[in-house]
Amino acid sequence: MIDFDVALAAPVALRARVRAQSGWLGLLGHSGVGKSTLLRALAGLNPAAHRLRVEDRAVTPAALARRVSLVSQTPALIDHWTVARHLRRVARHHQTGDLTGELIRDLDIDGLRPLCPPQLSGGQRRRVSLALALLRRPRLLLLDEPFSALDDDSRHRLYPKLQALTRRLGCDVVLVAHQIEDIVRLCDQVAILEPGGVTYCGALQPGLRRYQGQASPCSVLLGEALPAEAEAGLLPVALGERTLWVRTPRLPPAGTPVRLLVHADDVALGAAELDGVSLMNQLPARITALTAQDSGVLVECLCERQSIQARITARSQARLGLRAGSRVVLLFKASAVSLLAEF
Amino acid sequence: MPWLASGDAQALLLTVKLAATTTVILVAVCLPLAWLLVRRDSRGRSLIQSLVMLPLVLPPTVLGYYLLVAFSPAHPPGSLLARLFDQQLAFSFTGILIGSLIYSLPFAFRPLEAALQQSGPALDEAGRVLGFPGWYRFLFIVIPGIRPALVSAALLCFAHTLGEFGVVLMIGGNIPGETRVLSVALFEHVEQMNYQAANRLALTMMAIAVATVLLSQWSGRRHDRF
Repeated sequence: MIDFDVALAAPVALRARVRAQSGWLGLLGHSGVGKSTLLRALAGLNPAAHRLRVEDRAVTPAALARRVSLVSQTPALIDHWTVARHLRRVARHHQTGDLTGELIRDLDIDGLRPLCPPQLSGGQRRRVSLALALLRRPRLLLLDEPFSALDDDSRHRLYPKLQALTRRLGCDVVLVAHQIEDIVRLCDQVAILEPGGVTYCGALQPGLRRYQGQASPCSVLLGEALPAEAEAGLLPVALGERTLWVRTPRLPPAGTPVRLLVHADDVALGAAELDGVSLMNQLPARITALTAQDSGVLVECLCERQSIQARITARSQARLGLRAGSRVVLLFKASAVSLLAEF
Repeated sequence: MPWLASGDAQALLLTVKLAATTTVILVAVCLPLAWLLVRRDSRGRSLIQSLVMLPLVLPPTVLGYYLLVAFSPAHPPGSLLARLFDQQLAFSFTGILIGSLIYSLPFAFRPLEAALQQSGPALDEAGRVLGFPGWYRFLFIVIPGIRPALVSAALLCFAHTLGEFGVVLMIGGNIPGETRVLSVALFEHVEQMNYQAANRLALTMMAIAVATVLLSQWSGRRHDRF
């Protein structure tokens, strides 16, 4: 269980109370709201924290530092130690030598062992920091933008390994990521940090809707991969009784549960299915809610018991006569859907 | 005929012993003191820094005079110190060692404090993130991380003590084997117009000074290459 209560006066004043299930928790919040500050306090690195409680018990920063590992945006490593010495000393101090080989292999840092941190690239530094953070066998792992220096390929290779490692070590994770896709890919629950404190902590989809309501709303869909058309790079995904098409170079085997992301601005609405168009996805749905926004109208639809959002103009809403309960067809291209998770 | 007369060789050994002891004690004391001052932003910090820097601006003879007065058994500090060390401090090796420690204090403290200020907090935090306790971080991460400054402080302190004159003369006088250091011996040779012995002593001191500077530069370059 992830359960903490932190109050800070500096560098930003905030009070964060979070209770979530064990696993991965995404921490969402706009720039400067205090996400990194909160993680530093949770890692016992902020002496200005005047309230630190974990699982309803007051703890000292030193006690937190023993149980919590942090991988920050600029990972702190010791410049005059080689990677091998980092691994050896951390393993010896925390008596976790049995983990070293596995972490070196999974995070692909074997070739980096003779190097010192100034000789490492940004991505290599992140991988070494991740290995060291896990080598401490922490109860809670805090990841602050851990993938920002990694290319797409490395990220996709790293995700399942990280998930498997944290599951095996039994450590919970709080993830701050600039890319919302990283959060959707890895987390089942999110907390939203706003100025002053945490305003939401719970399931991923409602959390994302709440967080992205103003800025860039999107929908997360759960489906099951069907046999792919490999040469076209097209993946059909079963969404209840319907089939949704995804354009992706990575094709999971048939039967794999997948997680998909569709941005509301990429979804159009029609009164009926269209013939003679190139659009791959036309899904019948029912409107459950309409919310007027500065930038248009956010239309909440239900399709195969899953919620999908579309953002259209007020003019289109009036033209189509849309209201709650209306039957519509959701229209979007296969390339508008991102494949996020392969379990 | 040996390069140095036996009295001068004795003075050389005594000087090296004084400089080495001063260096070891000062580095051992200044490292934790400077780390404490860097980490704790307390109000007493400026006061301690000013006190440590005082010998830098005080004429050595003034410092020597005050120490001589303080070591006098006629005054409370002198009698207390004499009881503590079980000997009279004026005109003794322990006396000139205490004088050297005070006189060379800023030369050891300044480079260490500057290096700790610059790199210490980042190294300490890196160690903290890796889960090491405070003593481990200081001994095995912070101190090796400021190695060039540490070597530089030790060499500077050593070289500065080698050339000490005013303080040693005031406190220790010129007792062979006890307080007669190289600079005092050189002064004595010049007073007696024995220029050959003075030249040899001066050259010896010059050679030690040059070797110290070269060692300091070599140590810096080695670290840069790393």
